Amino acid sequence: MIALSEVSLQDIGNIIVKEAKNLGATDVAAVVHKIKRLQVRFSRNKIDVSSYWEYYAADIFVAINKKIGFSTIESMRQEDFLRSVNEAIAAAKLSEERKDFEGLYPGGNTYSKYKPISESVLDEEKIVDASNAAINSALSCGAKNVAGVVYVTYMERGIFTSNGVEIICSPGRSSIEVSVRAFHEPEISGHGISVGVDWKHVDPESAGREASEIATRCTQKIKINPGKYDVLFYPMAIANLIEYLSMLLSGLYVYMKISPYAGRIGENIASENFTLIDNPLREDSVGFVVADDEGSPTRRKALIEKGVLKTYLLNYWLSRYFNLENTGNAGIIFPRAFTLEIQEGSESIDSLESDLKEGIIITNTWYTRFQNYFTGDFSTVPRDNAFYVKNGEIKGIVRNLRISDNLPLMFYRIVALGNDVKQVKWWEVSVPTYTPSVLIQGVNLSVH
Amino acid sequence: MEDILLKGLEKAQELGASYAEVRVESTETESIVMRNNKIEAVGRTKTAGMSVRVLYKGCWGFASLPRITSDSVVGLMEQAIKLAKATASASKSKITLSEEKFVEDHVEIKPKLDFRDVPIEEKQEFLRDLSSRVMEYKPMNAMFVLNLSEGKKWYANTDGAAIYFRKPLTVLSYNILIMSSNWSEMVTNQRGASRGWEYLKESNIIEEVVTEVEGAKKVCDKGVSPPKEPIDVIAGPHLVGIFVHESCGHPYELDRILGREAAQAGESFISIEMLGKRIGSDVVNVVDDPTVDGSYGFYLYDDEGVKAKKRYLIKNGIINEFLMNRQYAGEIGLNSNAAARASRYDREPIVRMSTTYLEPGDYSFEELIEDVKLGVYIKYYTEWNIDDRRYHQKYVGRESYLIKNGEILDPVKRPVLEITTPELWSSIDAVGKELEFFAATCGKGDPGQPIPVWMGGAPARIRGVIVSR
Repeated sequence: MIALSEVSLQDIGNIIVKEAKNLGATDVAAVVHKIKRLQVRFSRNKIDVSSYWEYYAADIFVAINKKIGFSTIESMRQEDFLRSVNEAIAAAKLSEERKDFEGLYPGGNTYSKYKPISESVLDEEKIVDASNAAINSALSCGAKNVAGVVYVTYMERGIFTSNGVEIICSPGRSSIEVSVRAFHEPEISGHGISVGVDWKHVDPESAGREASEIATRCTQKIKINPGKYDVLFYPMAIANLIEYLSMLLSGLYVYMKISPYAGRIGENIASENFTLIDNPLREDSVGFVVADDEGSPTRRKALIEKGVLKTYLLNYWLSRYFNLENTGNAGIIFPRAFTLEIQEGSESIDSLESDLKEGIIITNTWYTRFQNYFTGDFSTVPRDNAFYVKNGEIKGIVRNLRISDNLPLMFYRIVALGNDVKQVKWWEVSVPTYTPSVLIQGVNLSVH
Repeated sequence: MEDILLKGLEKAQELGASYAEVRVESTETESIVMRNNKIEAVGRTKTAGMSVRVLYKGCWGFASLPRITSDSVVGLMEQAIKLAKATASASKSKITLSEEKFVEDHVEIKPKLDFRDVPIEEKQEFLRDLSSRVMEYKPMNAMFVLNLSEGKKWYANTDGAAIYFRKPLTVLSYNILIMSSNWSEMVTNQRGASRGWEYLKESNIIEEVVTEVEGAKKVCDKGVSPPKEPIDVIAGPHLVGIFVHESCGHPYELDRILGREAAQAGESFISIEMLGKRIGSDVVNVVDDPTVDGSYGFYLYDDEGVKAKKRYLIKNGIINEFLMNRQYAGEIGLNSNAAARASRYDREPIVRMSTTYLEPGDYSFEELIEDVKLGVYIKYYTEWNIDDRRYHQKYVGRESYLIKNGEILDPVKRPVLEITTPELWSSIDAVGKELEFFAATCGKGDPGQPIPVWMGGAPARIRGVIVSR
């Protein structure tokens, strides 16, 4: 690997906070990253490109008496970080006072211990071998055409604020993501993933096998009528919708009054068998963090418990605004989830499938779009094989499906959850999400 | 800067690369966020860095770093070749690039009004004027984000290209939630160009945005359900823009056709063998042209150093040309048509659109609607999506109007057009005269590469489709 800058996270963080305070900032937060990343992309059963990235970056937030400015800098030179502080200060001076902003997390709490993971995961030969293993595994299980990507990332992170927060995760954490799509024919495909924090916890061959098994499980195409169907969402498919649900649960969306969940804490907003948790401290998650972007300690908490809305994703100032406990999910502007968990059910995936009298299994989806966040009207396009099931048996694969429904109403109609929990993160799901398969009744499908 | 680029290329050749390129970019951006008539935050961002890409024994290696020095370009070349070597040992095939003519050139698009020279008070005044007008419609939420930037790029490759490119970008993005007692519409859109502050100062954008909001309010207050039977649809330039982008531009990207995006943005229902085959009616001409003056996705050389030109993707209803870079054009024995773009210094160039539009026909708007017995005019769309082979798509109208006997009448609530790509292009029987563009941010690539594009065209008449679901 290329030699990194000699400047430490601590030096950079402290310099930013000190400089910003000297320039008149009343609140300062700096998130400083050092990232190294390897990637291998493949398609048509062969590797397309191998890439390497290295970043030294800082996100700088400042407030001058409630006037907010921010800047971002990617550099390896100390003087550029100082210049960026000046930019953030200049920006804040141009802003207007934001009365709702009640400052940053005041500090004082302790942080969970974490297990660092060595950057030795970044191995050029290993990532090439993993890619080839994924391709060969899919081919050996019957796929004819395989595409995908393997990422290996090592990240150190530091958070520094004007309230005395100084937390440095160095040595840092790593993540490995394997994503494989296998085709039996151009329109008959499956997708498999394997995600973990080091090489011991990922299995490229299983991702290839999973993709191929979905692609080859049934190749008979059949037509169905549009209408309402019971739909069994595999983990990759439901994780996509859960990510949008978490967006609507962000305190910022609620604050802006564009979330359907505004003012609904304590109400039933989903089926009673649905529990959604944000757990940033899950050690095997690639989204593990001990502190959010303003240095609040992160913690596990239910967002929805047995169908009841418990809280939003909050940072310090939004928690004060809503008079709720801070959940430690800054983004100082946009609070976000770090690792989502759906509480598993008791049924195996085999049992969920065999109990389906008439319905559709959707294995993956993409291109989720909303008409309107406030109402939650949306549609999403299933991709990879979707299976039509009658009396527990797969009768064929269905093409040209679209789910056109209302997201909040769909979560009321969850009737069962599997016990097949897996960690999902890939091109269409950016928040690591542990979810089982989920059965939802009466999902509105259009078919062309 | 030229010395750094040269040093990188020399190092690549010394290490045995058959091809190499170096790209250095720096971007300076000012962002202003206004919500419900208040400036909520201002941001200033500078990014600068470089990347290298090499072909070694027929395999690609790519490396990037936010540091621009002679030493770091050498380190990046070594890293990229190390990666390509690791791949080459097990590689089943070798990449070759199309042969192209390369030049050295210096392209500067100078703004009339550099955003850095415009007082903040003037920018605030613009946003406040806009916001005040919009607030008259009592939105639940009205957010405007103004991004003003300038990018500089230095590019060189071992085949002889050496390009310097500098351009400004100005874009206004907005999200406005309009309500009535029992209906709401989310007005989301962008207006942008490769121009300086003058783009906003000299344009009529405030009126255009207010007209959009007014239209959404009309739908909320008075919208009726769309007809259930097959009808004609008049698609305004905003809807036509998303048609050409999703249902022509994307499926004509040659990397997608050849499977490179299969695990991410998907493949294409279009195959190489379909070149020269009919996909639409005679009146359909779809162009992608990076050289449109002031366009949001403007460039004169792509990120492989190939000279840009206008491309007819569909000509008189026939599939005429794909969007191509050097690798995939070379694979099918053609030349690149300069469609390789990278969104930032740290991204590899991949096949992308620029300004995609339906070329104007010879109908006035009145002539388009005059023989429509029953139809819907969709002026702006809201939700849309398309499958990952770009075959089956959905577009939902946000501001739409009923047409009866050639006359535009009541607003219509959310007509839904679900249609296949061949059906869409074959059902257009007339195209209007007036060309209009909209800015958008196109997504593709892994890691993601959001890039600025324009999309639009002239209004089009679509015969006999169902819009009620």
